[in-house]
Amino acid sequence: MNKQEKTDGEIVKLILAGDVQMFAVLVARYEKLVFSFLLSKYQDVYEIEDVVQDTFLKAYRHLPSYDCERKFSTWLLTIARNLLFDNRKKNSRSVASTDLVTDVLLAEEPEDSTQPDEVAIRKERFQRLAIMIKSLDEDLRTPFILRVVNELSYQEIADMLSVPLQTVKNRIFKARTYLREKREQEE
Amino acid sequence: MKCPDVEQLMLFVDGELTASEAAAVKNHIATCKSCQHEVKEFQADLETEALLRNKVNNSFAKHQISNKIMNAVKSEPKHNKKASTSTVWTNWLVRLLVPAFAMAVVLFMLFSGTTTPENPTIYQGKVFKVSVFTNKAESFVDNNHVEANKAFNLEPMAIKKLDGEFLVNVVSNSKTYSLIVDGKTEIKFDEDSMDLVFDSCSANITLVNGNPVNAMVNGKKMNITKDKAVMLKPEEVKQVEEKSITVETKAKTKPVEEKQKVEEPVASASEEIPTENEICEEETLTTSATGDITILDISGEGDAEEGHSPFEDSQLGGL
Repeated sequence: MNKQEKTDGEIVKLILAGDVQMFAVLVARYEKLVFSFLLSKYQDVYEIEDVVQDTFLKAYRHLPSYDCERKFSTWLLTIARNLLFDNRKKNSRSVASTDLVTDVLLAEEPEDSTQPDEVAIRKERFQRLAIMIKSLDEDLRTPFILRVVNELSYQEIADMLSVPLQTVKNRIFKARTYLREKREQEE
Repeated sequence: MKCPDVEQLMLFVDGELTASEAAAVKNHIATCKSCQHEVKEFQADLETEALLRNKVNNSFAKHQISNKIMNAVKSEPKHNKKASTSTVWTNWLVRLLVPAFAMAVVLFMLFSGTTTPENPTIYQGKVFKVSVFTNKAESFVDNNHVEANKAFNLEPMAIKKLDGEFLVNVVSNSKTYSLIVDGKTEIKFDEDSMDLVFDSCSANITLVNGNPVNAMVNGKKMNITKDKAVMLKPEEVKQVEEKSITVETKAKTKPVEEKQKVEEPVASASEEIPTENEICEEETLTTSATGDITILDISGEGDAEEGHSPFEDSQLGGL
């Protein structure tokens, strides 16, 4: 069985037995999840990097207390959420509570000098989309982003957020309906 | 066939229906222009969403820090190094020795529990978890009302504002103790110090489980003990009303007034396997007319279990 085929629980057991390198498998599996989860909650992408690192470091330190019966991703997001909450408490002035890192993402648009018009249109489209997503309620935005960015199934999102499957369906439906209405208002 | 509801059409586009459900919707769409239109709308949504996904993927590619994380992890102490070469018999040894060691620690703590407040036991080690349980219905955390018998874990160095009556359980690698905090205070802890820190504190703090401990109360180190009254002098209280802390132990006579009923713990950064050396004691809390607290010790099973954090959605933004 190679590294990729091992379950999270099996990997955790190996790490606890001293195989630190196996932690890299968990990082590979879930770094993007944590990153995108935090993306809608911070303004500064470098701050997100720090929280991503802190999340995994904290997970590593507290690995002995991880219950292998639970989903590792859920546990990890709970750690990220607790860190987020702590940071909000500590830096209430500097941390935006719900801002999508619009400027950072826009600034990182790959330059395409051959088609400047198309780049400008894409930027504008994304800017509009980012602003709309930013205006979503947080309880709608999180499952929506987990679905869209991480391409998780509805059931996986329900497990991760510890909410019923039907709640996830309703929230994603509401998010899409809201975004569509916003788009139509603009057109 | 009657038109499926719009949410069902969204699930169809998302590939979230079972094969038979999807087949039924597909058959219906073939003949229903209205539903065809809805499906096209959802497909257009997917195109827009792909834009966001691409953006985030680009951003993630630039800000992926897996190497940095692994470097940091490798500089951490390894977990249970010996186990990497463990065999069945070593596992059995561990299973036998760990409880024995835990029992030895418990016995040591019981027989060394006569420490005077002037010379309190200095506990060294790492704090694994500080869990806070609400005792009364009218309790608030960070100005949010919390139900009785709910629990949450403190994160290291994160300040929580408590207002009400709370049971605070501290679990470390060397000791477990419990305090009742009644009143208003800010509370925090450091993983590397056994001392809880109370600021802006006008609460009564009483030790209800474990040996005497120190706590930083309004900037002063206080010894909290069951054996002797501890008075917080008015001039020692900063920014808050003058109030005294009195802790007194009486005969172990009465049953527990308020037993903690709790649920499965919420996973958190400080989530912890229950230690085997937790001392189980419970006391009855009564408050005198003067506001001082009297503790009546009783024996018995006492450690409250952890509870699911009531703050999960309300304070943490619903994840």
